[in-house]
Amino acid sequence: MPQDKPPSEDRADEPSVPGEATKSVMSSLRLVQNQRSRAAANAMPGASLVHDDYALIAGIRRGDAAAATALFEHYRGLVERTLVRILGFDSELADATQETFIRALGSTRLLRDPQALPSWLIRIAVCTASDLIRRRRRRRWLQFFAEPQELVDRTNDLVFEAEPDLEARQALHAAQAILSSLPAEERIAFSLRRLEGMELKDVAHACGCSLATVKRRLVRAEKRFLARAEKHQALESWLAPQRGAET
Amino acid sequence: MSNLDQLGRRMAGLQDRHLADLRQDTSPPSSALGEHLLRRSSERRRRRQLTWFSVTAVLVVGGALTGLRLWSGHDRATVATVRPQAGQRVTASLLDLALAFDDGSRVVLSSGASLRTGMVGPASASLELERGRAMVRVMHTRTTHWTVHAGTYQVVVTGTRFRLDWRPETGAFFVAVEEGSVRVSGGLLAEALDISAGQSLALEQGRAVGASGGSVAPDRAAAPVAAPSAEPSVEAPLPGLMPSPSDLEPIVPPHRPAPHRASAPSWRDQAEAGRYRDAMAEAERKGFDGICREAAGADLLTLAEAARYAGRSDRAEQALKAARSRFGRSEDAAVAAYLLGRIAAENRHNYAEAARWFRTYLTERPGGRLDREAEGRLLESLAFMDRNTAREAARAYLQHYPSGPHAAFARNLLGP
Repeated sequence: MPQDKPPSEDRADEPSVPGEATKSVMSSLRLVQNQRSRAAANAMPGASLVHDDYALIAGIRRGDAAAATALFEHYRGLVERTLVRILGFDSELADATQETFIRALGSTRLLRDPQALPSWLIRIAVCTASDLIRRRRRRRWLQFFAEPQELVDRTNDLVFEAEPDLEARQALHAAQAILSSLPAEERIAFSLRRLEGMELKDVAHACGCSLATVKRRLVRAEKRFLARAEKHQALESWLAPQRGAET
Repeated sequence: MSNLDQLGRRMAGLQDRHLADLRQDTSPPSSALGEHLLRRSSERRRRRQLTWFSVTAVLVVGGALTGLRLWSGHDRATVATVRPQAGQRVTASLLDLALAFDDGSRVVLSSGASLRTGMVGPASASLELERGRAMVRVMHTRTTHWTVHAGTYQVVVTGTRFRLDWRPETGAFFVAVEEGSVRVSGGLLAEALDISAGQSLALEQGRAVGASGGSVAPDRAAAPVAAPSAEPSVEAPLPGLMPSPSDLEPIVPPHRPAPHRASAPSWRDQAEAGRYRDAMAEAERKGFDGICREAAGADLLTLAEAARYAGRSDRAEQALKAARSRFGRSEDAAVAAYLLGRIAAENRHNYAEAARWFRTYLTERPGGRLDREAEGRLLESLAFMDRNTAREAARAYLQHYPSGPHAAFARNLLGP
């Protein structure tokens, strides 16, 4: 991964193999964020102290706005990506991203080891996404507000339009629809494992539960996913050999 | 790699590409963003602290109230206290409601319960529990007379604390006595039952569904009072109530101490402690006639009270008449006349005799401490006999006590 590119370019040039990208999420993000910290420190007046995660967290604990800005800039990509995996391109993605950082800034005192900052942010993002899903379910259940499902779907439509294979495109639409219908815990475990390609122990850490719990959730999620996938013809060719396979 | 993984990767790849496109259109964050995020973060922290504080405060206050309720008994944790008057209908709609009487007696209606006040006097009351649960605590004095009706059941209170539950829709009746004793009659009971502290009685649709805590013995008004050792058995069946009297007895006090003559409490001690049956047993053992000849006026009233609440109205009358014959025109003799009127009216339904006794009291003690009560009782008795005379008495009563406990009754007699 070239280190002289800005963060967005890093994302753009990353191979579309999230499994590989996420396997090294803890290590590669450290490299990326240190490099980005330096870039951000140079770009912002008064931010020269912010050159690594230790300084970043120390600055935030002092109430340094520049450190807060740097945190946002450095880790926005990571947070957004985590949220997108779980929520898809949701109409409230920007709000959820901001909410994740607001939560993080308010609880930096709980972060004992600044080296764990990326995984800590992933965990906060997962919590934020989980809260959003549950809040929506409650709203829908009470029928006070209509689910802004159209917005979600339209954005996802645009995303999947980039897929040249029509059959694959239809399969992706169906998969996203099924994913959105899963219970929050199962949806999160499934997304982090199957889309983001995280290791099981990293999924467990992100969800704040044990490895065994995550395995159970994954089994349930995949069972449910496959059961619902049977109703979608577009997914037939994708999932036929999957049925009966282990997690 | 499974197909599910391939599908996921394909989806994630497209998402990443779209994210990258979005990022290209986004300008780098300004330093104001950090300030904004920090400000929102501190606002959120304050909100959460406030929420936690509120939740904690609610829990602490709720816990304190619950603790206070448990500590101080059922009747303290009420939301409102009202002073009852005759002829009222009181309903505890959502929360408990306490009725505080002048003599310190208290009735707490549980949520959903309703009660109608009949007569309310300085040391007496006649209440009707229409439905629901009531916790009753009656202050004990020499002249205390409280009656609580629940449907067709009647609970005569002798200075005590008990819980009463009445469900008219199912006919379920329950009484549990915590202190003192009560006498339950009416309804499906063929005979009156004395229920003492620690005992309870549950009746439902023609059968006893439970009795516990000690013997619940039927009243045997005309029979000699059984010795304590013979008490636990329920000798008389309760016709129509249950297949066998044994249904009412899980009931024997496990360790009832054998009476020890040298240190046995006197009948007076027993009566003052509310153990009227024991008091009567002791008085009989000592010689009831002898006590009537020798005891002081106040003691005779106590003895009469014990006899009355033990179901021995004959012995009560004997003691009261002894008081009248031995103590002439004393206060005790006048009170004895009043109590003789009560026995005549309530036990024998002899209203003419009752009216005579009440008039005796009023003549001997005009303006006495039982004057208002005696005049009201006289009014009640006359109403059973002669409406015209009763109307005259009603007019007199209203003139003397326009807001007295029998005022509503008197106005009813006079009509619109």
